Amino acid sequence: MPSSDQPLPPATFFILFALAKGEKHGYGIMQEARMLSDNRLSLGPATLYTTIQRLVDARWIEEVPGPKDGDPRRRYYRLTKSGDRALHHEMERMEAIVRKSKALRLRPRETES
Amino acid sequence: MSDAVLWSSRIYERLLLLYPEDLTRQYGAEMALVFAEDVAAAQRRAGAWGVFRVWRYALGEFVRLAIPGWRSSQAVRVPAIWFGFSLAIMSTEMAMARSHSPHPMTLIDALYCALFLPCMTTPFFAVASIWACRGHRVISLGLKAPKC
Repeated sequence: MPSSDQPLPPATFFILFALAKGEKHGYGIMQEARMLSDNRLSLGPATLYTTIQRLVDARWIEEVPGPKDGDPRRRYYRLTKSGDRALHHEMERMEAIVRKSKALRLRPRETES
Repeated sequence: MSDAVLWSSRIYERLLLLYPEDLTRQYGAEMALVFAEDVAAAQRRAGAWGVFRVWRYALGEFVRLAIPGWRSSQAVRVPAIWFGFSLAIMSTEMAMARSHSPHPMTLIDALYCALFLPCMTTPFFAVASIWACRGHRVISLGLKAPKC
């Protein structure tokens, strides 16, 4: 797991981002991460669960009990306080980059349609 | 469940056997479930092209995650090193034999001779390495052991 001073890898960032709105199971995280990244991030099951395991080990996310009538194979995860701090730290880092680029009057290039 | 989803799930479950044990022991069932749901959703959205895209990404992950896991395993590294070492020795030997012998052998014969020893002996090294690693994880991503 990278230290909070370094940019987070995209899979880590979008998993934390996907869990910011509340607890989710693996497939829910995958869908939310895709939606939040405008389909730019493809998370396969192996990348998803390798990252989830590392985030659980780092105590940035934790497993929570799911609904009683749900599929027993599904596990639900939610952000911990330290995970929430890491996500906000990353967002502040991104905002600072955008502020600096605006100060330098840099704009994203328009994509060709 | 359509045939494409059913077969994809079955093949992916077999593929999971080749993933690092520390990942699949903890998350194998969930990974298979997520993959099946992803394939089904991709098929509904984009048909066969969607299924192909999910598979393309899954195979890319396999190359990125499972194969480096094998490389870090002693059970794979020792036979691989032996195969490379014996192939290098035998290739040098055959190259010298071809250049210095009054009756040089053909290139095919030389290749056959160079590959014979490595191919015959590597399986013994593989079995010995797996035996030496018994009781340990053969393939690992270095994740922490799950809490019991």
